[in-house]
Amino acid sequence: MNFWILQTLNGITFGMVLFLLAAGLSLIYGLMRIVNLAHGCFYLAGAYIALSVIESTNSFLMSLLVGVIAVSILGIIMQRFFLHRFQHDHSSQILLTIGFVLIIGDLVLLIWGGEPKLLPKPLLFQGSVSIRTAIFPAYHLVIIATGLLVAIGLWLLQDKTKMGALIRAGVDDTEMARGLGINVPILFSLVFILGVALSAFGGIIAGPFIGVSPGMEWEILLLAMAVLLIGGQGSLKGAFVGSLLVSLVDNYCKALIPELGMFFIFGSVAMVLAFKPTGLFGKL
Amino acid sequence: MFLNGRSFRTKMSVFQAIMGTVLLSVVLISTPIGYAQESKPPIKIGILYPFTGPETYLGKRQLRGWELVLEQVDYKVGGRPIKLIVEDDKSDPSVGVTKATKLIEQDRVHIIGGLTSSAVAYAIRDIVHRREIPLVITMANAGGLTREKRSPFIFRTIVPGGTPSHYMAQFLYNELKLRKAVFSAADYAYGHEHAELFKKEFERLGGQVLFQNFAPLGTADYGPYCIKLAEFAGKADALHFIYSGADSIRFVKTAAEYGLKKMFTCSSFGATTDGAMLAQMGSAAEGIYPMCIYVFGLKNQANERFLELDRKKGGSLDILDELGYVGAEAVLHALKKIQGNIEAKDQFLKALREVQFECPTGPVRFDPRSQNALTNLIIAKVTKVDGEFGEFQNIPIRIVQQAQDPWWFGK
Amino acid sequence: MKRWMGIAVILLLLGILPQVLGDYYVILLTKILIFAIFAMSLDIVQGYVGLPSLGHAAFFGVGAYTIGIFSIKVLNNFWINLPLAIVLAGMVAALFGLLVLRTRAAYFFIITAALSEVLYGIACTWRFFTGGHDGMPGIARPDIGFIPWSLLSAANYFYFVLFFFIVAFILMYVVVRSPFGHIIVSIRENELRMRALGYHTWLYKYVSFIIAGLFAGLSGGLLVYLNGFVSPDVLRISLSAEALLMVLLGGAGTLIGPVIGAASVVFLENIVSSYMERWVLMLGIIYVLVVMFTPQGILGLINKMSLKSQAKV
Repeated sequence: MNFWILQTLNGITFGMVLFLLAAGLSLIYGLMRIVNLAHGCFYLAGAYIALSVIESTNSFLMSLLVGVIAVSILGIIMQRFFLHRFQHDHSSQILLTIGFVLIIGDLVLLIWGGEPKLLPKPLLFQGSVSIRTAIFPAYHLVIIATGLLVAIGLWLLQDKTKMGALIRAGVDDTEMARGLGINVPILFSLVFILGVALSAFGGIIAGPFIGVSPGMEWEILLLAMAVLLIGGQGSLKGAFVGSLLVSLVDNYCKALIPELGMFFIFGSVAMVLAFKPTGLFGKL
Repeated sequence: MFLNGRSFRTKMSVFQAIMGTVLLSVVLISTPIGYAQESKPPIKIGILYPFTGPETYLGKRQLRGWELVLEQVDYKVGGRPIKLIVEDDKSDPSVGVTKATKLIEQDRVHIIGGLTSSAVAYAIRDIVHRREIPLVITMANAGGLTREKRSPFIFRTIVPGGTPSHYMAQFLYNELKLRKAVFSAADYAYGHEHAELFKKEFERLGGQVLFQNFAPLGTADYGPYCIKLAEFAGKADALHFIYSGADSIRFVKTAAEYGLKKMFTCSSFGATTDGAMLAQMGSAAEGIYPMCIYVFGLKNQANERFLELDRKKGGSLDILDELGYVGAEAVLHALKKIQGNIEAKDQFLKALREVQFECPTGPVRFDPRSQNALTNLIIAKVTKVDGEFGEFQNIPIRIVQQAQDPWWFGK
Repeated sequence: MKRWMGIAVILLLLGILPQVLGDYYVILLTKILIFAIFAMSLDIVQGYVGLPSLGHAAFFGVGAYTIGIFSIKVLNNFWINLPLAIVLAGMVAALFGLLVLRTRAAYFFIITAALSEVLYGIACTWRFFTGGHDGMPGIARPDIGFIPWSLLSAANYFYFVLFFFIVAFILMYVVVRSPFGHIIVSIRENELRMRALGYHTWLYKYVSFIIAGLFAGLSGGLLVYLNGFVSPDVLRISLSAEALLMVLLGGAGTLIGPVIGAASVVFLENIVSSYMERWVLMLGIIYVLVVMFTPQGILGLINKMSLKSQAKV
């Protein structure tokens, strides 16, 4: 019984991390149709910057703030000065963002060195918690809570605010939105920043759990893309359900049929795509 | 020719095309190969490690080990300067082959040292064997290279994969009196070799390995694996695991968080190493019994000297430096013996085969059959010391003398 | 006439170079040719059909592993193994094509990546067949039999690859210049119209995808013979990304562009990395600059400059 409780909790935890990543990617792609291969880099940069901040101030909260803001600035620069020129040109977007991945990846290596690191946990949440005889890390609960809060926040934003309405309009029909007088370029920038911020936030929150090391930017990108493919792009619900689904099934699979390990996630992607090419909840 | 649907002919003239090709050829042919002619031509050692990608720190650290050795002799032996030509193999065998070819054909190195990746090692094996270039491997596992695929030109200064687990099995059974074990490792040849040798020896002694699981390299979340291992609480008394780098940090922390340390006596190899790894793991690693290639806390003359050299160079020691250090020392000893006359290759090889010296862990020499170094392994316990090297440190408990690759037993 | 002379001169130079350059450079040139075939095959999908693929390494890898597995475990006969590698790569392309061609352009890109990752996972996990992470070393060069030439020397293997490069180039050129090729480009420009005109657009895209897969498999096989081993790295997304870079850097949709791109990327990665520690950073900067200033790639830049000089007349 313990086994199932623990596996499920673990799956949900990792699912929340995936959600933070995928939500950002989904928003960016869903609204702007921008292929951003550098998405994993924001995760990476956020985590490393947070690491430095924690090492000097010992405050996890501070590192969250600084990390997210710093990476958001990086994101604005990338979007405003480089990406926005290539709105419909996917090939250029790919080349450009690969260039950025190499640049950011190497700068990170230069500044922080190559050693793999784990972010230290906030003091309050170190150690383990027990529910009867099951022992698991306290910090997992933080991740779950945070993920849920962000999910609720994003849902409120999307469904209950004007901004959300604008975004939804943009996703559904960009031309029409423009025609209605919505300032699409500003909207795009704002959404891009939101997506980037979510990615960085994810990196910092997951930092004590997954850690950070050079080369991660590609692995993270792959995971986010897998979730998006399964859950469907442009849909927040898709990102949420997709993340949980991928994580839980991956978790159980690893525990029960470990031989499948590596290609389970992508095998599922292939299967979902075979039956529903736009993903489970995809609008596109 | 099409360019975005509009057909138009390339206006590049024939003249331009020819000039372009000629220019390219001239550039290629004239790329500088030479070095300033000195009184005696330098001894060139090619160093091949990863310097980009996830294994960067493995390469940087081991290179530092080489530098620690060569700085001592001012990069000179027998009156000749020693030149290190360093290349990045990115842990990618395709790149490794290209760079190795460059070092041999282009830079004309006399010796190649380094390698962290087994794939790269296997890939360049035939090249160094055919071109008869001595290769000193300081880290790459690639067991075959000192077993069935060995070559008179290939040496290794670290125990091959699996060997440490063989001896650990003995320690767990004989000294700690543990009888039932569970095992976890990264899912590739290296991890499986450890699994095999551990199980073989542990069961030969009378113990039982109840369960093994393998996580893919680079797994982000070790939760599922640790939870599965936790199922054996009360049934097994030992957990032996093999992970390295970022994977080991995550595994150890996750294992501690899921209470595995309270359920089992934990042992490992290559995970909880002094330096960068322990610093990241902190208290999660406390109480684990690692089998180590090297620990900071050894009390002998060679280690004192090694630590002193490190302090002079800024004092940021990691055990990986020692790996490079031992390889470099072996090469240097052989070079000294032949007074730097590296052109006499047979003599150099003979000198290298016969090398015997004290390294920070104890005596080192090469097993003549395999050309793998026989070195001491150290069984330690991660203890809270708050000392010179950080809050936690591997404190040595036992020394396994001159550990030998079990593959060679009885051959 | 002038064109043929120019081509003849270039071929002559390529014929002489291996005799004067050291082995290391000859191997680099060989790599350039192999990746040029790979990049050209990707261009068919990316430049001509207009679908950005991040999973092209899948077919490269299938070709590579076919050679690897058959040479070592079954029978070392290149007359059988190389064609087999090409065919198997084409078959996998046929399979993947069914899954990926039903989607839109930018989706396509992620899906192809996911599929190649599946293959990567298989290569790493099926250690018995594929040697797992460490790969399979010890693959011998093809033994041509009736020609008394050993392909062991760098120069001879270069000529061997050059032969395949020329054949591949001619074949792909013929395909893109044919009515079939014209239709493909028209589909890229406006699929709706072509469908309205009665063309079975999906079928055209599918066939192109398979053709691209065949040539990718060829290049994968040639690389394995060059290196003498195969490892899962031939299936990585980073390899697909590299090929994409070659196509875009050189100029998509031109067939010659990818050749230039392949030469540039191989050159940059090998020569620059020996001189600069921060060569990855340099590479990234170069790619960004190329996109910002000459989005049609190097070939586009050359054309722009020639057009300008023509206009001055």
